[in-house]
Amino acid sequence: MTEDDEADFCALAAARAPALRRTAYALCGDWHLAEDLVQQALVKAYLSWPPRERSAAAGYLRQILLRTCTDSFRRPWWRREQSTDAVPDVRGVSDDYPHDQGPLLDALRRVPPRQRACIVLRHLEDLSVEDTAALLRCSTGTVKSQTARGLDALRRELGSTPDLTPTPGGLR
Amino acid sequence: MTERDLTGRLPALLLDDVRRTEQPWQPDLDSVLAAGRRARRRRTAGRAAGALTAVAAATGAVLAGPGLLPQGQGSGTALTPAARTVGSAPAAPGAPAPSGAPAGAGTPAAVPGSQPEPLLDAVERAVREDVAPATYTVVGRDRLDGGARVDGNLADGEGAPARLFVVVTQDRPGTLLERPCEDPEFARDSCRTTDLPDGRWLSIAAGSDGGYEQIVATLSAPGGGDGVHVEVDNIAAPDWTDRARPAPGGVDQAPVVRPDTPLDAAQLEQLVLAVDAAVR
Repeated sequence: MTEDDEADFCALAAARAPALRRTAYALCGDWHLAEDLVQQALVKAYLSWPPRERSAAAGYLRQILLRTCTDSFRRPWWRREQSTDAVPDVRGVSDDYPHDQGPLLDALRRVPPRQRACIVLRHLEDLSVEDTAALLRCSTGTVKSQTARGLDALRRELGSTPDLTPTPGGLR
Repeated sequence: MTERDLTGRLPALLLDDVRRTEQPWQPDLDSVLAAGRRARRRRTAGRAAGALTAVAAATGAVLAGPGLLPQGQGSGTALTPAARTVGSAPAAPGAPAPSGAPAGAGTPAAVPGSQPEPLLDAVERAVREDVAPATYTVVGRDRLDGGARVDGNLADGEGAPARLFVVVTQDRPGTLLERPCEDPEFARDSCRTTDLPDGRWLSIAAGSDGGYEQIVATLSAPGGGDGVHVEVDNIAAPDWTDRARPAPGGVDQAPVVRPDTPLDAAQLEQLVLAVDAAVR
C-alpha cells in the first residue's frame, strides 16, 4: 500500500467511523462493542485496501462493518474471538455511557438478532431487500419474512410504550 | 401503533434513539494501521512459508514412500470402529481431496499462510493426537485477540472429511458465556452443562444450524475469559483464503458433505478436554 493509499484510508475511516459506530450500536445495543466492531471492520478494510472502485469506498466500509456485525451475532458465545488480529482493546473517551436506551432501541434489543439486523439494514441503513439479502447471505424472501416478523415483534414490544415522538432537535 | 405508522417513523425514531446516548468518539487509527500492517506482513511471509512447506511435505512424502510412516499414532480416542480403520479406508464416494498435506498425529499441516506459532501448534497437535487414527487437515488458523482459531476437515473414513473448528480463548474476560446452554442460539435442539471439579463448566449442544448438522462444545471458566470452544459439522470447512473475512463467516455457504458429523457428543467432549489440557 502506498502512502497516498494509506492517507486515503485514514481520511475515509475518520470521516465514516462515527456513522459506522451508530449503525453498529443499533445492531448490537452496546457502545463499547460497537466501537470494537468498527475497529475490527477498519482493520479488515485496510487488509484489502484500496478498493477497486474508489467511489464505492464508503459503501465498502459499511459492507465490511455490517458483515462484521452480523457475523458476530452468529456465535454469541464466543463472538469476540471472531474479532480481528491483535487489536488492543480500545475504549471510547468515556467509560460511562448513559444506560437509558431509548424505548425503540430497548425494544429492538429484545427482537431476535436476524430480525433485528433486517430491521436496521432496511430501515436505518435504507438498504434494498436485495442488498440486505446479499449482506446477510440469505434469500430476498428470507429478508422480507424476517423483516415482517421483526416488525411484528417490535410492535408487540412497543405495545405499552406511551410515547415514541422523536426528541425535538434529536435529528441532526 | 399500526404497521404503516411504525415503519414510516422508524428511521427517524431509530436515529433519535441511537443519538440519545451517543458520545464523541474517533477510531484508534494508529492501532488499526499497526494491526493491518502486521497482518499484511504475516500474510506475505506466510504465503512464502506455505509454499516452502508444501514443497517440503511433497518431498518428504516421496522420500518416505508408502507404508514407511507409522499409522494410528495417538491416544486412541473412542472413535467409531470405522474411524479407527481410517488409515486403510478408501475415500468415500464424492469426498473432496484434502486441500493440505494429509497429516497423522503430531504432524504439522501445510497450511497456506501459516507460520510456526506455539499456541496454534499446540492446538493442532492436541486435535491430531486425540482424533487419531482419523486425520485432521487444517485449512486455516490464526491468532485473534490473544487466542487461537484452527479450522479444518476431519476424515474419519466413514464419509467425506467434514469440518472441525477449534477456538481457544485466553485472558479475555467476557468472551465466552459461562453457561451457554442458557443461550437459545447455542442450545439449539439439546444442550447440557456439566460442572467440572475445578469450578469450570463443560457445555455441549447439538442440532441443525442453517441447513447443516452441528455439535458444539464449550469449556468455560468463571468470568468467561478462558476456555475452549469446538464445533464439528457435516459441512466442508469454508475457504480461509479470503483473509479479510475468514471462517466462520463463510460457513453458511459451505456444502454439506455427509449426513452426520465425524465426531459424536462424547468424542467432542473428550476432544475439548484434550485441547484444554494441551494449552493450559
